Amino acid sequence: MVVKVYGTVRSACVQRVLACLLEKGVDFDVVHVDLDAGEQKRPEFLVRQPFGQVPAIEDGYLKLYESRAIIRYYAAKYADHGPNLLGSSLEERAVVDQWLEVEAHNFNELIYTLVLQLVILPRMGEPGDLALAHTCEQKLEKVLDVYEQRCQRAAILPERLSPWLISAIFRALDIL
Amino acid sequence: MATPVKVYGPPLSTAVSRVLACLLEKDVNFQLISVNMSKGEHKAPDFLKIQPFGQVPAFQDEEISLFESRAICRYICDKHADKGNRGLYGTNPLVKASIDQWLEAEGQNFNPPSSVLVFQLAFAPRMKIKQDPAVIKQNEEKLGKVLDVYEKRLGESRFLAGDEFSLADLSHLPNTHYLVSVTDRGELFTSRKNVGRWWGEISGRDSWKKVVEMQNQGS
Repeated sequence: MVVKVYGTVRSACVQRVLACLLEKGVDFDVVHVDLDAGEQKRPEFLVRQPFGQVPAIEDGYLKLYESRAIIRYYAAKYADHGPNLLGSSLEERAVVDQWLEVEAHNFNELIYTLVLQLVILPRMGEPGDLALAHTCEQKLEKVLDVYEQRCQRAAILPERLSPWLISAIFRALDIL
Repeated sequence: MATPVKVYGPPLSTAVSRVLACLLEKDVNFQLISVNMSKGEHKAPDFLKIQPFGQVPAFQDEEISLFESRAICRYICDKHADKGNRGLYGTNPLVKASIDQWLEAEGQNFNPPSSVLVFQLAFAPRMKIKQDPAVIKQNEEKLGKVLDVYEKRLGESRFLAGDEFSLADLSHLPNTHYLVSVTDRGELFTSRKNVGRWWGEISGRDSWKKVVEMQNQGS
C-alpha cells in the first residue's frame, strides 16, 4: 500500500516526511494541496488536518498529521529497513528524540522566521522585517554554536541520519 | 529500590513541571535539584555541560543525561512502560502515533502562543518587566483558534489522543495551569464547554495536584 502524503513538495514540513520515507524505502504518492489557493483551510481538508496545515498522511486506515509524529511512526515501523534513524537502544532513541525536540523548539522557529522575512515575503511583493531577521540570525548563531560543539563530539555516520538532522537539513535547504 | 532520577530546575518552570507530572504519573522516584535562574545558574559552565542551551530542565538517571522536557517524558514512559500509568504513552504503535500527533500539536501550535501569554501575564509582572498589549492580543487570538480546534476534538473524544489520559494531555498542564489559575485569561479555556470539561479532568489528577503543591511550596 502506498502512503499518501497530502501537501506540496515546496513545504519544509512535507519534505521532512518525504526524506524519512525515502530513507526507509517506503513508497508514497504526494497528493498536491494548493497552499496559494488556500486549499488547506477548506472544510474538506480541515477534516484531514484540523489546524489547516500540511502535511497529513493516509496509510490504509491510518490518518496522521504533524511531520515529526509521522516520521517517528515510520522510523519505528520500518526500524529494520534502510538506515537506522532512531538508534538501537532506549538511550540512543532518547538522544535522537532530544535533538528532534531541539530542532522543533530551538532551531525551527528561527529558521522559519528568517525564510519568511528574507525569501517568502519579498517573493509576495511585501517587505521583510530586516530587524527581526537580524535578531533571528544572532539567536541562530548561538544555536549553531551548540550544534558545532555537538557535531565535533559525535561523529555522525552517513548511514545514520537521524530525524533531527533530516529536519535541520531540509529546513536549511528551504532557505536556498 | 532504584536510585532516584535527578531533575534539574525550579518547579515553577513550565517545562520542569511537565517532567515532574510525568514522573509522578509513572511512579518513578526523583530528586529535584534546584537551579537558581535569577542568579543565572542555568548559564553557568557546569550547568551548560548537561544542558548546552542553558535551559531547564535537565535530567539524569543511571544510564543517561538528557534535556528537552518532551524527550525526557518519552524516555521515562519507554523505560518504565510497566510502572504507574501504563497507557500514558500508548501500548501499541497506532495509539503512540496518535499521542505523538497531539504532543506535536501541543509543541507546535499550543505552546508558542500560550507560552507568550504565560510570560506576559504571569511572569512579566513578577519580574517587573513591562507587558506588551499588542503581543498579548495577537497571541490570545492565535491561542483562541487553536482552542477552537481542541473544542471540536474534545467533543468527539474524551482526551486529545483518544479515550485515555495520555502524555499529549499532560503536556498541556503547565501552561494552562498558569493561564487559568494565575491570570485573568482562564475564560479562554473555561468558556469553551468541551475544553473546560477536559481541563477540569486533567488538572484534577493526583499527579498534577502534587506538582502544584511543589510549585506553591518553594520556587
